[in-house]
Amino acid sequence: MSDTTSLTTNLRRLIDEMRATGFSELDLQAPRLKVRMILGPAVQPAVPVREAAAGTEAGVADEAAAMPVSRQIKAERVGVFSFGRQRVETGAAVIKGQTLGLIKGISIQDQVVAPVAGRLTAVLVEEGQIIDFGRPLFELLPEA
Amino acid sequence: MFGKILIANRGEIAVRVIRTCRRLGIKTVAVFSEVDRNALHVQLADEAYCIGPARPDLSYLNIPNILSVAHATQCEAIHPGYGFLSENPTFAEIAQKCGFVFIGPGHRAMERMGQKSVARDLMIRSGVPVMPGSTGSVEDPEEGLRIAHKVGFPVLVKASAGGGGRGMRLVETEDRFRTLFSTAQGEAQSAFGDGRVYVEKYLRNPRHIEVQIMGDHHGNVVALGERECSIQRRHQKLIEEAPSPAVDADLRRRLCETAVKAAKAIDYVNAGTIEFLLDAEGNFFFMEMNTRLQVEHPVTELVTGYDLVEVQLRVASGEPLPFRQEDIKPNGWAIECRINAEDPAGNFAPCPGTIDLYIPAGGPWVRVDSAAYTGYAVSPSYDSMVAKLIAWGPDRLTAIDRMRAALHEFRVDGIKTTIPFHQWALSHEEFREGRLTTGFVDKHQVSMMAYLQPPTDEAGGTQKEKAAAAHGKTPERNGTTGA
Repeated sequence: MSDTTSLTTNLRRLIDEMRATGFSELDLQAPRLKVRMILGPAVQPAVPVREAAAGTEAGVADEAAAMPVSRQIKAERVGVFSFGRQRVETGAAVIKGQTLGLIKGISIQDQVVAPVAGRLTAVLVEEGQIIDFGRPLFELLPEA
Repeated sequence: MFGKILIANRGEIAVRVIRTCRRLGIKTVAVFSEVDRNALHVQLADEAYCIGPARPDLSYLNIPNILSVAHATQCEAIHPGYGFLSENPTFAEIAQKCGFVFIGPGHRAMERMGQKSVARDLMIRSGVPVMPGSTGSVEDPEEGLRIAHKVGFPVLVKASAGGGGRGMRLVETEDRFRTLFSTAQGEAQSAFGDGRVYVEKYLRNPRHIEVQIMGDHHGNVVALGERECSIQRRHQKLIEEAPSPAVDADLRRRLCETAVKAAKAIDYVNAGTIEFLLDAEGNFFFMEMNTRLQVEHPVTELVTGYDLVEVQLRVASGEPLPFRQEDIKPNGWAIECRINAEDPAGNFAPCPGTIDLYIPAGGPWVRVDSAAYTGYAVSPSYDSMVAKLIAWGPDRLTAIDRMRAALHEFRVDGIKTTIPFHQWALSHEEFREGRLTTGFVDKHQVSMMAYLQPPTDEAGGTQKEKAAAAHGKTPERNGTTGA
């Protein structure tokens, strides 16, 4: 139990480190553990971790089926939009809390995050675009 | 001169600023709240960005969002208009630190004038006459009472941080002093987070006379003459004019000199207004300074011939004032009526709603500053002003008659407005004779109500129309006017 928890925590840290340094693949072999992670473009990073840690095959599906209707992710701040390191594309699967971009205000930088897991059905914003309050940025079809 | 500015405001003043910018070739960036998406200032600006929901604290007062738009759009300066952030020294300071020119005074001057008791002291030390009363704020009610005795009752106990009548108490007699003093302190504390109050003599039915000043970054301050704004209700101005029928050349010179002295005492730059109270004997007393462009600035523009927004922009960009004191000579007379979405017959209660038909007045010497149009919804989230109607004439009575004619053709259907109030006031004998005081509306309440609500049982066609207009019953009015 506590082993699993600490493993998950450590893997998460590892992923953050990979993101920060720009690595996208990792093979890890330890006496009682074998982990392989690939952080592709817009691939959900935390999910493979949990799969690897739990040694299961299928996706997570940890929440009840959401309504299969696309919802808009709107800007709650004002500033210049940036995708950050990697541009997310239409069709990409995203996880809840995943950073989709940044809005840079005069003194604040705000992350645009996916409110739920799902698939992007539209990217409505361009790199460098001035974003005003309430502007639709993405359309997201929540995971069933 | 600037290439691009942001206008941190809405409504007619945002439109007003855009108009001058357009003429001068300055690009404009408008900001708007979610309910103002179709507003006129949004349509007229070169660019427009939503900065938040309707609630002013989340949009028009949202400093990070406003500055983020200014930054993203590469604006050089910010015009704050009036109201909202225009007299917020923190905003002026932050904007400056972020590299934008604030089109207004320096934040220190703004801060000092914002503190009423501080401003009062400063004026006393600069030799500007103030209403007799305390020096600085008063904490002890006994000391306050001593001052009240010295200047004589009635007195006002006013919040140092105050404005808009909050934290202000009129004390008529000695026995009520202690109670009302502590009431004012409590109200000041809860309204402004600052319980300091001061005591000054209360002038019954004075005239409200204010002087427009302009300062530049080269040490020049010029007074552009006075305005009279005595026709008001609960400290809200309704009719303004320039010049004042109570001010002769000598008094004008003294008022202007005093205003310049007051502005120079705080190294004032850009547009500002020094408000005075004038008593029946011709004595005037400093009341407060408004550190921004005023709503009623058009009457000064019409009699001086200067576009005050243009002067603001020039001064803010570092140019010297385009005129000297001797260039300022009032020409003719200008009057402004504030057409508000209010029911004058119903205690001036705000009447927000959609304007079904908007036809502004026109013709020679008539100016309309407004952001309204047919289909425009007056939002309950903001102030109720629909339009400013301004008329000019070579003399006061001609200006009044042109204004009355303009009011007659001004159509704002679907909501109640103050148009009938203005028709009443401008036809009132005492108004026409220039006998104005701040108590005018209260004093003539009966005459006003009789005009606004004529007896319906024996009313003829014309009266019916009048009553309909007063009540905003547009179907009836449409019927009688054949629209």
